[in-house]
Amino acid sequence: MNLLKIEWRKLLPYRAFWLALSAYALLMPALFISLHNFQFKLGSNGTELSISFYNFPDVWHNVAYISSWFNILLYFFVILLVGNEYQYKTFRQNIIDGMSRSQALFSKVLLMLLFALGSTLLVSALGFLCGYYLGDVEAHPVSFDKVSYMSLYFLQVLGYMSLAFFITHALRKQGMSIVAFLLYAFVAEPVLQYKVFKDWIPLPQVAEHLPIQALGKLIPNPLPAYFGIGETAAYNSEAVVTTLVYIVVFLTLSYSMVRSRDL
Amino acid sequence: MNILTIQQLSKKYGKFHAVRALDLSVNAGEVYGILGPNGSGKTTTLGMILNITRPSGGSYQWFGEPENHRHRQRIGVLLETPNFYPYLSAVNNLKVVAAIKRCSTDRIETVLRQVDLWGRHKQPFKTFSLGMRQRLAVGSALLADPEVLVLDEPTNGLDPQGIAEMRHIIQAIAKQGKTIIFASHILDEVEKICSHVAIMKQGQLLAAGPFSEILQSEQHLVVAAEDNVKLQEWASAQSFIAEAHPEGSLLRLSLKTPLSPSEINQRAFNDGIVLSHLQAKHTSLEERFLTLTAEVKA
Repeated sequence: MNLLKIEWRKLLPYRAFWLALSAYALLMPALFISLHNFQFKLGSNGTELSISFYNFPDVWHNVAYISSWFNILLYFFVILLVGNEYQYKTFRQNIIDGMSRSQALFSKVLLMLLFALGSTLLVSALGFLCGYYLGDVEAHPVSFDKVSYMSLYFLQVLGYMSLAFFITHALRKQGMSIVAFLLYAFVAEPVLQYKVFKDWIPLPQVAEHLPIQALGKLIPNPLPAYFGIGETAAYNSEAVVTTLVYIVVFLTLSYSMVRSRDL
Repeated sequence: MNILTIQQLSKKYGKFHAVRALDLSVNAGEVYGILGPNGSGKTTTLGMILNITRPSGGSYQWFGEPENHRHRQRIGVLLETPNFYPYLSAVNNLKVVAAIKRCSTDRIETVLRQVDLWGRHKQPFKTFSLGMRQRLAVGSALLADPEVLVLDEPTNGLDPQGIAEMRHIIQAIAKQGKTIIFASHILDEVEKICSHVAIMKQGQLLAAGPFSEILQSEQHLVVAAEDNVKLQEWASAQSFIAEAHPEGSLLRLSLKTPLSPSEINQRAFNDGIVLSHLQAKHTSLEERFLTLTAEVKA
């Protein structure tokens, strides 16, 4: 509890953090509302296809998927908060003042757990409200059948945060960490997946279990099912295990770096 | 009571030895100065005993026990540059420190008044001048009423008034009987504040102990006789005299073995030399420091 108290004392008066967090909490419902009665124009004749994302029980899956794109803000929070400690040399100061290296690291892991939990609760509440008020409740009454997507969402957020956490501890600079995170997610891993482990060193098993791949499989894209071009993938236990392994690996690597280096 | 014991502590960066097999012991109530030119390994040594720099070898004990983060909660530290959250006020920064040190926040006002910052306690750290930042760091170091203070070049970058203020604060703390470990490259600063001194150069410990011992270990006498040529011949033949240098009409003797002026006078008289002038010269810290550090190859 004392570790959370320490983090709380750092964050409570941090106006920029609360502004960013408020923006996140306000933009999330705005995003959901903007996607209400989502319409596609199909083909050359412009046939309109209207999709409601908010009918029970699919709403749980859909809000989890939509939010997962928006959550990049949360990963930047992690990079900023950990990067701040290096930039201001307060990580080193906290150790001098009496924290152990593992405590300094664990306090941030607790914070990540809180962020992930908070985000999951927010998305769950918004999912329910969207389903109830924006969905067709008469045809699709309230149902918690697919609410397990919320726990997968929690795991996915934690997984991405662990990756951001690891990158920031490795690079110790906020700007570089943000660039490295984006480069890895959008450039390096696709290259590894579609080129390196496909054409150069054909290892499909590795290609399918790279971090972003594994995290993405937790909440698959629900759209193909709406267009009748596929079915929504069922609960993927392999992705859950892979994600858990990656979380442990990223946190362990972060700890080993913090433990062995000069601060 | 033993506060800090350092045994064979070393730090290497590649092939470069920043600190070589350092042994040092600090007892309760001592104001221990670590003196050395820039790059002598003072900050690296402090970094290792505060767990922010990983030693390459050796060990250290605080309060007679192996390294433990709880020991650092009993130590107040001020390193070269104060590290605080720039967006937090002085009070909120000290609240973070209080939570880490598991001490009450009740003393925040007291220490901020002590370092003359209470008038700015609500303002963010980023608006503080360097002097104010250093003072806040002193306040932070004193917050948990620590048994030991570790200070590394606390007057670095301060203007003359800031230096005087900082020195006054440290002297006031020393008077309370607290143990202080104080690293500096400024001889005058160490001489004015410390009771003990460790002299370092190029990562090596050259001398350590109470000031009186360090300064006495090189004893000088200034002598003269009616026949100074005969006096110099006599001095050169004595095994207890290391060197004899003429200084105008006088002769400066460096002694190998500590002897009192009356013993020297007696020995000279026994050998038929009547001294017309005999004066014990106290070695200044500066002289001792220069002698010791000159012995280490640059």
